[in-house]
Amino acid sequence: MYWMRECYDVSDSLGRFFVESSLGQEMAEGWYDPDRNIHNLDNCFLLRGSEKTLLFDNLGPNSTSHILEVLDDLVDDGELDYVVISHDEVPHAGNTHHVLDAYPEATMVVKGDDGSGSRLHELVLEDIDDVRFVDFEETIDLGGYTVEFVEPAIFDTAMTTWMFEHETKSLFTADSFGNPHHEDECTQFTDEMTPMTWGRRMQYEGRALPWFDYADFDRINSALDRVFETYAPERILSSHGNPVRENAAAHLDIVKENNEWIDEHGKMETLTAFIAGTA
Amino acid sequence: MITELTDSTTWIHACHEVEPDVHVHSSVYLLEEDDRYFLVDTGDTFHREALLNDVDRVVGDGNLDTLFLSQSHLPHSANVGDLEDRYPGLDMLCPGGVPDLHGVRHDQVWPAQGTAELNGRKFSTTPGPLMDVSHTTWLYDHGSGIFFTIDGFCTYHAPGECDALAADLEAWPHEKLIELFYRDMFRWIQFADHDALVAGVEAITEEFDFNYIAPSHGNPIGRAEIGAYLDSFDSATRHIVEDYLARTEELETA
Repeated sequence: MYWMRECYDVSDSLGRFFVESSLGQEMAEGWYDPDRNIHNLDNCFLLRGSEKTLLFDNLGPNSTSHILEVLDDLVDDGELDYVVISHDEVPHAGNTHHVLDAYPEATMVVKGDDGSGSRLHELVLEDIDDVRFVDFEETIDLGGYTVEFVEPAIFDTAMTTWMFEHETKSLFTADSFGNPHHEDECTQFTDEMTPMTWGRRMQYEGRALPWFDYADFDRINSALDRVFETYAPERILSSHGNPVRENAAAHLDIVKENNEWIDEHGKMETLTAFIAGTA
Repeated sequence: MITELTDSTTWIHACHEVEPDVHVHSSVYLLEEDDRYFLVDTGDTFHREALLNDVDRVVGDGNLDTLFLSQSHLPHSANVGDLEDRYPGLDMLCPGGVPDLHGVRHDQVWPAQGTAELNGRKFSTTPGPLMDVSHTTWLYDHGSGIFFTIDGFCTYHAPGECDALAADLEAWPHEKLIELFYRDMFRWIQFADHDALVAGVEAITEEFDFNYIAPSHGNPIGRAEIGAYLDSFDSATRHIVEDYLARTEELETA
C-alpha cells in the first residue's frame, strides 16, 4: 500500500493565525513550532494486491506529472485495474482523465446513486466507457486486500464514498481527519510528528466544510461512531491529513471533540477570511 | 440554450435528463459592459461543447476577458482549460480561497466576502448558506441586480421548462423536484439543523436587493417568486432530515 501526496505551504496564513490570534495561540499549544513552515496536503493511495491494483483518488492538476511518474514506478506491467474516485472535486479527482488515458484498461469506480446509474457524477457523464458504480458495503477483492465502500459520516459533495480495507483495517476518509503538518513532517505518520491535538485537527475540521454552519453535531458524531463500531479501523488514511497507524480511536475522539467545539463556538472562518479580516 | 435575463446579462444553459421527466440544468452567466464580457463559472464537461459554443455566440466579436470561478467542484470549474484555449488572455478571478490548492491558475483574488469592481461594475461577494465545497462564493452584480447563487436556490425541472424563467412557469416551484435535487446534491442536509438552515437561506434573500436569483442548477427566480421557492425549500429539506432520522432510528434499533 502506497501513500502519494502534494503539500502546500500555508505559513503565511495559518502561521499568522497561530501567532496573531489568541484563539490561534490556544490551538497551536502543544504541537506548533513557529520556526518551521507549515503545510496542508492532498493525499491519494495505491493498493497493490496480488491480483489487482487500485488507486484511491488522484490529486489535483498541480500534481499531474507527479502522480503519473509515481504510478509508472509502482504499477507493475502498466496494469492499473481500478481508479476509485472518492468524490468529484478537483483536489481528489483532478487527474482522473490523465490517469485513465495512461491506463486505458482501468475501471473507474464511483459511488452510484439509487441504482439508476450515477446521473449526477460529473465524471460519469463524460465519455468514459468503463465505469463501475458501487453501493455502500460493496466490496472489491484485490487479492490480499479487500476494500469495502463505506457511507461517510463527514463529506462535502454528495457523491462521496469512504473506503475500508479489511486486511490492514485501514479507513480511507474524504473529507475528514485532516491536519496541517510542519515542513519536515511531510512524509510522517501521526505517531512520528509533534502531537495531534484537538487544536491541530481543528485547522481542518473547523474550517473545511461550509455546511457545518448548520450541522447537528450529535447526528454527525453518531454517524462517526457507527462507522468506527462497524469497521473498528486501526489506521485512518485521510485525504488531507497524515496517516494514522496507531490508536485510531483516539483520533476519532479528537474529531468528535472538534465537532463539539464547533457546536458550541461555531465553525471557524476560512483562512482567507482571517487574512482579509472579514471573518 | 440562450436566455436573456436583462439587457446586459445572459443565462446560458444546457440540461439533461436525470430520470424520466426530471431534468437538471448546467448554467453559466455572461455579463456584458461595452462589448466586454464577464463569465460566471464554466459549466460541466458533459455539456462543454454546447455551453461554450453558446458563450461564443453571445460574445461574438466582443471580448470575453474575465472568468469568475465560484468554486472548485467540477461542474463549475471543469472547462477552465477550454475557455483559456478559446479566449487567450482570459483573466481568472477566484474569490477568496486558495486557488493553488485547487490547482487553478488565478490572476485576481477577490474577497470571499466584500465588494469589488471590474470595468466600472460593482460586485459583492459572500459565502452562501447553501454550499458543499469550501471556498464557494456567491456573487451579486449591483448593476443588473442579479444574485448568482451557484448551488443555492436550485431545483431539478420538468421537461418543457428548460428555457423558462420561474415567473413564466405556472406550476413552479415543484417541491418534489427541489427535494430530489437537494437529496441528491447536498447529502449533508440530512445532518442539518433544519430551522437554522432555512433561517439562513431566508436571511440571505433579505441581504441583497436582487431582481433575479440566478442559480447554477435551476430556473432563474425573480423577486416575486422567491417566497414560493422558500416555502417549498422549507418543506423539501424538512423531509430530507426526517427521512434520515427515521432511517438511523431503524439502524440503531436493529
